[in-house]
Amino acid sequence: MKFSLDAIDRRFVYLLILIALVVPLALEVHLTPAPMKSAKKFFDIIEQVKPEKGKFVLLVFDFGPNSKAENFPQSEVVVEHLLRRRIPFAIYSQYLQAEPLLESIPAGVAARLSKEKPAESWEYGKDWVNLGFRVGGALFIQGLVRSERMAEVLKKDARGNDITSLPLFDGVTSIKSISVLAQFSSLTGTLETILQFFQSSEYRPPLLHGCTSITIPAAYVFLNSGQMSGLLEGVAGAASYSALLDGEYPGREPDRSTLMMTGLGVAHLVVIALVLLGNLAAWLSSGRKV
Amino acid sequence: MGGFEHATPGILVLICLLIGPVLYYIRIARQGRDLYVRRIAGVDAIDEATGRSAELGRPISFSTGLTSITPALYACLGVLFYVARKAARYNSKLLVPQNDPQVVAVVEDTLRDAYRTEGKPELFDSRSVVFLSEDQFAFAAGYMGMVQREQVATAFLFGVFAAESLMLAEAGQQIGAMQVAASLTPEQVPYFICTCDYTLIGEELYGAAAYLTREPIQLGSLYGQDRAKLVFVILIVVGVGIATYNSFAAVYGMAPLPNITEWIRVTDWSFSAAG
Amino acid sequence: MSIRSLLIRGVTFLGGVYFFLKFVLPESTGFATYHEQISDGFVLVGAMALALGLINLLMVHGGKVLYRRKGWAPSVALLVGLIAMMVVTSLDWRETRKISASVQRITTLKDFADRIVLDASKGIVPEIAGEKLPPTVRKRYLLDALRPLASDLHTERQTLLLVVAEDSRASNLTLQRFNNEFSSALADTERLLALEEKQGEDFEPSGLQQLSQALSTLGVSFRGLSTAVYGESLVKHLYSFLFEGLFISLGAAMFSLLGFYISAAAYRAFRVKSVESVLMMTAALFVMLGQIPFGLWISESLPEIRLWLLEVPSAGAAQAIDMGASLAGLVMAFRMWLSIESESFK
Repeated sequence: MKFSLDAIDRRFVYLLILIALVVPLALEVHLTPAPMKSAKKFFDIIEQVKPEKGKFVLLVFDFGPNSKAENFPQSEVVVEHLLRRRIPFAIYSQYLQAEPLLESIPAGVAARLSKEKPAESWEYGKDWVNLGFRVGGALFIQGLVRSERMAEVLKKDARGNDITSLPLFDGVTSIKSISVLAQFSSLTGTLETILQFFQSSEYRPPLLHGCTSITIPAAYVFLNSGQMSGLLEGVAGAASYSALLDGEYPGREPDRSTLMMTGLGVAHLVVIALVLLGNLAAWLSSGRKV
Repeated sequence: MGGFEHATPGILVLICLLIGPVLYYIRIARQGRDLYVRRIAGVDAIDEATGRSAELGRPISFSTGLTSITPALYACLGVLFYVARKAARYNSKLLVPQNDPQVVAVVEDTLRDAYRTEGKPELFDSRSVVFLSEDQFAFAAGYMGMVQREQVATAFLFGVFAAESLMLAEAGQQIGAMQVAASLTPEQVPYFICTCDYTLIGEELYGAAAYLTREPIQLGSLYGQDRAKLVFVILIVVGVGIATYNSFAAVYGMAPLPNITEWIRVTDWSFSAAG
Repeated sequence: MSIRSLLIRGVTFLGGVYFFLKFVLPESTGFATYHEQISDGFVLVGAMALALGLINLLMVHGGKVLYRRKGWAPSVALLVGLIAMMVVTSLDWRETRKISASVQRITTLKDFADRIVLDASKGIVPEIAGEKLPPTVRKRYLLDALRPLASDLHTERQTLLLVVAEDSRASNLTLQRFNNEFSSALADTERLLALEEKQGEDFEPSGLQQLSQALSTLGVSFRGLSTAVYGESLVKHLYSFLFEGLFISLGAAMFSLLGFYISAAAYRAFRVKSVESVLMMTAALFVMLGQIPFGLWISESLPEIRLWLLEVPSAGAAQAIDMGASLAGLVMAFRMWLSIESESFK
């Protein structure tokens, strides 16, 4: 491997990054994440939702194993917030590979909360419903938006239960029953589909979005225009949201987002150090040649 | 609130304002008038890149990424046609890894035409179009393996790319390939700039084929869309002006102007400022 | 212009004009009544194109393996993976279809019960081949169909449980839960069936409503039990291994490579050579430091600066690139619609 500072072998760079990521994870270091206004907006919208009969929050998990590292912590913290506030929610996905996550994420969070608060319990069908993978993308959304009774379009949940038999859907009518719509995705095009089609002429639910780091600049376009009301920016957004939950619910167990953000923070510093070192070395060697 | 599924009269007017100049300049170009197109370094480099491949005796790789059957694909095919003709002329091997099976058929047809136009149909090998996978990262893995095994001298990355863009470009970078990329989405541009020798940004991809071939239809189309874009720029400037005026009007108690976006969104052409 | 060329242009134009008119005409005209079916047609064409991909894979990689061309070893891996995944997924699909078909017998009777109650409430008496079917007659048909089904379900439950190994039956809590739920739902259904039979020709909507609810629970628990039993099968284990164990894990691993690649690319490419590169480096430093915990140790203002950079210059640049590309794409789409193609590209 070469060790000239302005031309370090890339394998050495990979090694440094690996160490930077693994060490904080292994030592379980949780640092306070940087505050994010976009995450605060997301948090405030959920805080303002009141549990009401015939109303629910709709979550859309359009991510799979590829972007699970970023979207999974985001969806976990939001699901935790909803469960703690007893706001009923339903989940679906336009992406087949998300199917196992639609069941495991709320069940996992509910189990964790039950351990924290043994006197309380969270029930499937009452606190949350898994609507499963729905084919059709924009066509499915258009059908949902047009119907006066969503139950007629949804028919059954992912477990085969009749939608009308679930307490969460008692009193639910059209999309006006959706108090907030939150989508977590890394896929190109799915956010635009939701933005364009998830609205009727009379009503558009506030849209919240959890994106991966790559799509942050594109997501900010919609946040600025007001088409989106809140945004979670990758793992950093999830960590910031987690910190807000800590403030609201003291004694809460720290989750993986702050742990991952600490590791990412160290990796960021390593990259910055390498870039600065490389520039310094290049500047010094160009000085010597002259 | 209207117009999200159906056109409003305002949108129809904007469509006419967009298409009108295009048709006009295509006609002008067909009449033989010379239309100026600014130099694009990345497009100039295509000749250099294909020549490099011929000198080194190593293959050329041309990937359209995750592009499906959309207008963007046709823009990429224009460049692919040009590159394929060069490859036929210099007897270079051309590899075209694919992500979408529908695109495989279209690309095969394009290559066959290119080789036939160059007068070397016998050199065309249908196995040069390699369908890898519809899955994003399986495609990336296949592409990376392919370029590293084949030791390509030149890699073209033209089209729609997502998170795998850096992997594709880094794979070529690691073997010292000359890389020219064209990304339609702004998110991937920084990755290509870091790893490729030349990068075309956004609509420069659409201009690339016109720039290379200098054909009247393509040049006229390019010229026309640039003129049409001026209309949108004027709308933006007027909209910003009105919004700025309205923010002062709210403070100083003056009468506000109607918001320009309402003119585009309303279905009944009433010019009220309310949404 | 040849007939073939004319035909292609004509079909292209008609296809484009449909979507254009669908966009332009208001919904009240009813123009898009069959939009869903037409869109499904396009999805079908896409599905058929999968066969093209499969043929290409077999041609390219099969040829490499057969003739031992350069790089034939990875082609073997691809073909083995392809065939294994196709076989296992087909078997998985077949098994899940069987489960759905089994459950369908129960849900059909449940839907029938619901229909009887609904028609009775509206005073509707259907007629088949000249014969009127009042609710009492339809109820008799329902009970006649349900009686043997209930008996069959007992046998099927025993058969399902025999398939599962003793130790798996004991350790699989989901299986036990669904087994208990199914037993209880079946007992409920049989009790209500007996009650309805005792009523004879009397028709009581509330009785059928209760039966419908019991059938709904029975269907859900039977599906759960069948799925839990299937989960212990070899096919399911193979499917889980290939899909969740290999495919999903490899996809996640590939995505994680990005983290390493971007570090190496940033180190290699971020060189200060001009004023623009200084600006870019400074912006990158602010954005990176503004989103990590350590940035707060340097300054509390870093997140604000980061936010400004993302909201103003970055979003502005992204919008500009998007707008230009979208307009160019619209023009290209228009040219494709009207088949205004370049001479060299015909």
